[in-house]
Amino acid sequence: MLNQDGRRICSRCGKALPHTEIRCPKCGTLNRVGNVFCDHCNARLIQPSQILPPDVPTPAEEAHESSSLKSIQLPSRAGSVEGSVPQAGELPDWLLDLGIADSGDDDANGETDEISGQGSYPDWLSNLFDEDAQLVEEDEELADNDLSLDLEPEQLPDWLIGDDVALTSPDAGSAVEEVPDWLAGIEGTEEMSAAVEPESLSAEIETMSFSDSFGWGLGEEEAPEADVIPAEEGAELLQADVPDWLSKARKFDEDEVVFDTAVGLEQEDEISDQASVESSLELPDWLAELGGVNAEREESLAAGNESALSGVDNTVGLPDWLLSLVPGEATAAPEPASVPAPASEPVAMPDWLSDIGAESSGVSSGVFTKHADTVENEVPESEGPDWLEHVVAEAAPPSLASGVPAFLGEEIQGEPGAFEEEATETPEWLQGLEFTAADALDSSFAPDVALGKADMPQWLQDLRPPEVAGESGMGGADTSVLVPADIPDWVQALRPEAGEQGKGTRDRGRWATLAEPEGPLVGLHGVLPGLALVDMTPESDNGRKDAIPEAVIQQAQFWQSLLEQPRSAERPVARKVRSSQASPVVRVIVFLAFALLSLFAFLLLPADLQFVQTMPRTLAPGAAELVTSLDRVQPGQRVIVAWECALPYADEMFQIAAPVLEHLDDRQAHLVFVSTIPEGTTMGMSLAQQVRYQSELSDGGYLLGNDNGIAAYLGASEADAVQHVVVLSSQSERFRWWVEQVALTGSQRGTGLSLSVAVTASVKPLVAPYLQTDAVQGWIAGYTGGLAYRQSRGEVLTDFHTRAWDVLMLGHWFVAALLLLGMLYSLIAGKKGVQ
Amino acid sequence: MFKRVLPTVVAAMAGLLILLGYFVPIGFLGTMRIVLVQWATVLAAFALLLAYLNILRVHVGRLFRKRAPNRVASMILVLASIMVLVLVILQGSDGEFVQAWLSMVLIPGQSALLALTAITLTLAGTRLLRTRRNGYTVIFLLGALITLMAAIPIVYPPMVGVVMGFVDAVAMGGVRGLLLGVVLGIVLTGLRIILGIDRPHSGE
Amino acid sequence: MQGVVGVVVGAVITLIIFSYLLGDNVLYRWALALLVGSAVGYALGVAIDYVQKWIADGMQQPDPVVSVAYAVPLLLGLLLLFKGFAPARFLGRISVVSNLSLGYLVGAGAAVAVAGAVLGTLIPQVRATGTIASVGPGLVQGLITALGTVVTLLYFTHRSRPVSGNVEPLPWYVRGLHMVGEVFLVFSLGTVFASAITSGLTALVMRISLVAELLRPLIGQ
Repeated sequence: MLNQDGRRICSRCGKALPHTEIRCPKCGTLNRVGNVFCDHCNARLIQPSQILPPDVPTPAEEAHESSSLKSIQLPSRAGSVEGSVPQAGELPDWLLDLGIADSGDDDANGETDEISGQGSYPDWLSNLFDEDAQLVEEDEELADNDLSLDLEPEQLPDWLIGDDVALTSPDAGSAVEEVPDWLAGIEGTEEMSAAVEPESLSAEIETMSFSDSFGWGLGEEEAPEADVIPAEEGAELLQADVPDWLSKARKFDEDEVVFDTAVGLEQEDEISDQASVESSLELPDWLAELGGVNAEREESLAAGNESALSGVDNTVGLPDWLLSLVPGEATAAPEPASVPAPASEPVAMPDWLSDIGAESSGVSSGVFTKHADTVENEVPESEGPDWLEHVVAEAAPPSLASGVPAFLGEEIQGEPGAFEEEATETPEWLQGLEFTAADALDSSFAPDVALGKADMPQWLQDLRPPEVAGESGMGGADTSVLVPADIPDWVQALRPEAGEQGKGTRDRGRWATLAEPEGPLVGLHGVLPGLALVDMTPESDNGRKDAIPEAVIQQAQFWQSLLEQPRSAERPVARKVRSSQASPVVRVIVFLAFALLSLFAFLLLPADLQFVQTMPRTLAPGAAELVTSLDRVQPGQRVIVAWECALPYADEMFQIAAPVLEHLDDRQAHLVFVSTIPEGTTMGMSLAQQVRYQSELSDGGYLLGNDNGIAAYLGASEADAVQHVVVLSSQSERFRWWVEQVALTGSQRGTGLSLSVAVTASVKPLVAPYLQTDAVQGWIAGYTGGLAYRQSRGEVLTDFHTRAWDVLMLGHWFVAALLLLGMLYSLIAGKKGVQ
Repeated sequence: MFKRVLPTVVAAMAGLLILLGYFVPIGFLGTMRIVLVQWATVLAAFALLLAYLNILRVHVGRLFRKRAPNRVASMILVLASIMVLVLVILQGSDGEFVQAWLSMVLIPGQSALLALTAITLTLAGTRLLRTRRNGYTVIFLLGALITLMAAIPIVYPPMVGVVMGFVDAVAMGGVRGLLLGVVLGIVLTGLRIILGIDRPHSGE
Repeated sequence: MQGVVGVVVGAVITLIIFSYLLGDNVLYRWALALLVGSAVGYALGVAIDYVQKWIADGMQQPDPVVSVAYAVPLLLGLLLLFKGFAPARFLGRISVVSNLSLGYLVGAGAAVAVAGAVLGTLIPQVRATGTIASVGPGLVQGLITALGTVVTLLYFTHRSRPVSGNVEPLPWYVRGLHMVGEVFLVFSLGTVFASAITSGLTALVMRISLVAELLRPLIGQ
């Protein structure tokens, strides 16, 4: 089923859809679309040198750029052209398809891409095959030369991958799936059943992966295995069934162009000669050209898999109306065994279409570079309808010779897969002509009357510009006012406007404005047209436009900007963020300054000189409360000491906890050290030894599981007798655990546990909310708190205590001065931070 | 089953029983709560063992890998961990050598690290306004300056005490709001786990 | 002797750590590795000691039911160890059973944390916020604290973004409250920053004091 653009998985079956990836030119890793650099090797996926300057893109540059994107895989969607209904005022499908080539419509269709050459590809894509084409030229073996050649399947777009599959393994089962819907419809028609034997029909369908590379108009390809149709009978049939305008066209062709499927392109030079001999069986030349290509392809393929192609009756590829071109005998009594192999069926067709065929055939032969000239020389200039003939006379590029409208020619050159679109699908404009024009056209095929207004499909009439529409139809255009080289205005209006890159004309502009939704070319207009444009019904078109997410559009714009960067654009390099860390010299200077200042204070200042005149206990109001709280501890009473101090804070905590332990020793308390820190109890016990704790000491152990451990310990029977908990903490979280679990245990018991606290200075602001509640009986914080506790107990501070406090005061002011200086310097020097 | 359903059921049951043990004054539930919490502490020991093995795996692997960075450091880490582990197992956590190692190596080293932090924090504070110049930075530095100067004032007139009372009120207001936010988050996360809405044990 | 050795070893370790002031260096990394390895080994040793005691207690239980209760966490712990195996191996493939142990650990921890947070922090802190002195500076300070608590909580208010459309801007007064809350929060963090420096300075002063004690005999004191 069809899946919406951008989907990664099928919305029905859930299977992953192939998506576009970019192969790294350096390591080969497939990278996600959107990557500028390879995920694996960080190589740039799109080299700056390959980025087009926005103003003057040259084909070579485009090709060079595209060559770096060899691993494009377009989203595969089972294409169906049934839903493509041309809208009024829009281009006909066959023109549309040229402009917006189907990339993944039919796998089999993609075969045309291989045998259509550079002239049929846009430069950027044809350059993709430059090297391969040269190889093909050398070998001159078309069928064996897969255009993908060195490219791996994943390097190719889906439509090329489909070609590989079709060419290299014309598996019957898979080929059936590749039959376009319209061909499947043909299969079931009575006409086809009458024209083709069931066996050959099935064989044809099974090998459709090859044959429907040209879709319709392949009846002649079956010629080698079909009945030999007498030229006269064929001519009669054609006279009877061919639309008049085609019959007229055939008259121009039959003496000039012939197609020899057996000879193939190697005898391309002989085409015109044989045409004069074998023109009695006249399919249109352009059909013959196409058929010739196929026959040649089949011939070359037959060398590899002859059985797979035998019995193929490619008449099944013909639309109904073209089936009628095939002689009745051939359809009524096909006798494959009696068909001579070289049964060429040169038929007449407009040369402008035969040019296309010739071009493709030339490509198929591997003559990539010179086929255009050959065709130009060989094919008469004016074989199509006059209105197109006039158009082609001047407008067509040399490679397209004649007959093709200028814009069509450009599109054929410029769009990949354009040709197979025309070849595989019945052009709707021809379908329209089939039913309306055949009887109406005069056998003289006067251009001015041949295509009357009544003969034109409505959709084609709608395409006409107002001034033309006001006349009597396309055929009724006054050709007398047209110089043969003139281009009708309405056709001229359809031409791409030169010099405006990425912009088209009115109608095409509608399509071109739909940017590529994903892939490396996302955001580019009309470069890799989306299949949805072909498959979608007109009603769904607007919805699809609206459905393009904003992110995709932004991504497209990003890629567009990347691709439009000038060639000389330098790769942006992330600037190194300047570290906000001070230089080592500054760090050492600051450290040495403070260390020398401290050493000077410790060693050289007189003992009676004291800087800090403030009493520590005035700075620690909770010290007195803590003393009071611990004074209530009875001798022998178990007191849990939760040592929640990490190792780095051991020095500070020793100064804080020492007076507390000394106080508890005075109270002859039985201390039980516990901790949720592995080293906690050991540190506590070590401090107790340092203060020469004389009373009973216990190691309650390491409480594993953080707050679980605390809860388990407080809930155990051994803690039942405990009435007081002293928390010595340097970490706010562990302190919170203790406060919470003590509160929980107190609520469980019904009689509250007393909680006393001594914390480091670093944690004091964080636990301050707890210190102000009733849960805490008393608290001290920091070195100052320790001194305050001593003072509160009436101790006299030692020289070390006072000197250390002085040094600590100096350190605080030193740091404060540095901060102030830093602030002032920053305000004066300005912001010099991250660049 | 083992990936999601059973672990969720186990987590919910354990959580609910423990919560009931806290809030429902029934002796049986209280006893069960204590037992269940003790089980969790034993499990935490195994989790610690798992973490230790993981550290060993990383650093031992680095020892045998050529061109691995800091191989010597990894070797020192592994040897130190094994040595201290053996010492603790043999002597206990309060053994003589263990205490000596603690007081001679661990405490000086970790304290030096903290002292180093003071220098680096100070220098970072001096450059803060250069990298982030806005009103909040000024307020931040103002709070730090006031706290530093008020930590150990040379003199302490009564007015300073009043001012510091307001400063502490502002600081405690912010911290209490922060604390309540944290606790509310803990409560909500815990309830989501107990109710099976969040399943961190199953990686969800 | 041990004291001298301890001081010397401690001084060497301290100097190596301080060498970071000159820049990151190998000695500093080695010292860090030594500290981390020692801490890890110590923690595991203590944990093993804890489990050994648990097993010993379980073995001494006369009641088989109680002994089984002691064995349950050991079993869960063994299951938890499966978590350490690589998923590609067989034991790693069955490591999903360790989710049982993890589930128990997480559930029990959540319950303890919830109960403690509600009874130990949430209710007391809300109550303390509403307890404001009736007169004097305490009244103003209490009001400031209450205001700071509320606006800081408001600052952490998060709104879920609607499925479609943008979040409507907050009213001016709410934005004003957010700004006030941020001021409170930033000021509080400034005090925390300063307190961390205080602790660091204390540790530095204590380290320097040890050096001073070593130097004191050298200068004749």
